[in-house]
Amino acid sequence: MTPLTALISLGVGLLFGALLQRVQASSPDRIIKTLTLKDTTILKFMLLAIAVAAAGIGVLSLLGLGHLNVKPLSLLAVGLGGLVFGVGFALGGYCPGTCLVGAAEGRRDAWFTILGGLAGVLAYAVFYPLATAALLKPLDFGKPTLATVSGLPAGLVGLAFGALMAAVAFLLPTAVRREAR
Amino acid sequence: MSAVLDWRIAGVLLGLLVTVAVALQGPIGVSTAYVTTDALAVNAVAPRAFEQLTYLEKVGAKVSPEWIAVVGIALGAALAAGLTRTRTRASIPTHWRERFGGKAALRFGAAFAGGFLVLFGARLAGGCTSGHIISGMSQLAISGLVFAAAVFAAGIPTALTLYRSRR
Repeated sequence: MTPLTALISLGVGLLFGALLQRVQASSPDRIIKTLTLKDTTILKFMLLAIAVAAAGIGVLSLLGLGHLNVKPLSLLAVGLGGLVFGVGFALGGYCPGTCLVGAAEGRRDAWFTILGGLAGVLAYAVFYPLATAALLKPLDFGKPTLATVSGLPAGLVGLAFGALMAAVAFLLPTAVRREAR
Repeated sequence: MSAVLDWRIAGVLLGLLVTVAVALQGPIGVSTAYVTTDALAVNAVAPRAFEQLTYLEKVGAKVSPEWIAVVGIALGAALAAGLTRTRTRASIPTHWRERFGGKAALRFGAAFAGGFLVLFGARLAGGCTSGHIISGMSQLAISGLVFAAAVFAAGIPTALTLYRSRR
């Protein structure tokens, strides 16, 4: 790792952490309101970020630039992992990034989520050989993207997908369900 | 007290940040840094166990660019909270308190269990909110779409059940 790589990583992290803190994605109450569909502001924030980044990365692709890193689609592992993640997300109100932000801004429960996370990773490390055989190897579809599946140029698909995500972000109602009281 | 940043401004800024990160060196991810932390700790305390846990060995017991970025996330959040005077002493979310009361131990236990599940799930899936949903979907990855759908498919009913308001 070169000093420049380290410096860029630190800079990206600093800005990411500051943004998450300023939009209050680190508040478990806001996550709970998102998942109970009372206030979808954080979801709209995420969708718009994806929209802008998809369009931005689309432009990079058109220019032949960018360091992409698409994650593999092991359908069982990604699907089951997502379901387990969703239950934990609702229970704690934190994701792996926002608990760090929460701890840094003074939330004491966030420290327990970080510790739980480190324990969860250790448990996964023990489970890993079994997970590899049972969940990661079967139904491994490689690294498909909307571009490879459709056969269309990545740049154009990125711009179109970005426009779609932006439309969803703005059209999604802030309160899907009414506040109970 | 500074107001919360508008989601539209925050969304555009995060989208630009992800674009710049991909342009310079690669997408943002968080959950692998937890593996690095575990690997560093286990390798220091119990090197034999480290060698047997191939998953930790695969990720490696050395500081990575992603680990530095994650340190940056905490520093950036601390700076932003300090500069805008939005530090908090909160330990029990309002929704939790309304449903389960003000016992700190119960909330801390749930926060621990939540962290356990979130990181176990993220490592099984190969990424989290940052790597799979924000960075993954931005790169049009089908894995990101599947992960996001699964997270909300489980997260919404769980939250609706846990935090059902009392009549």
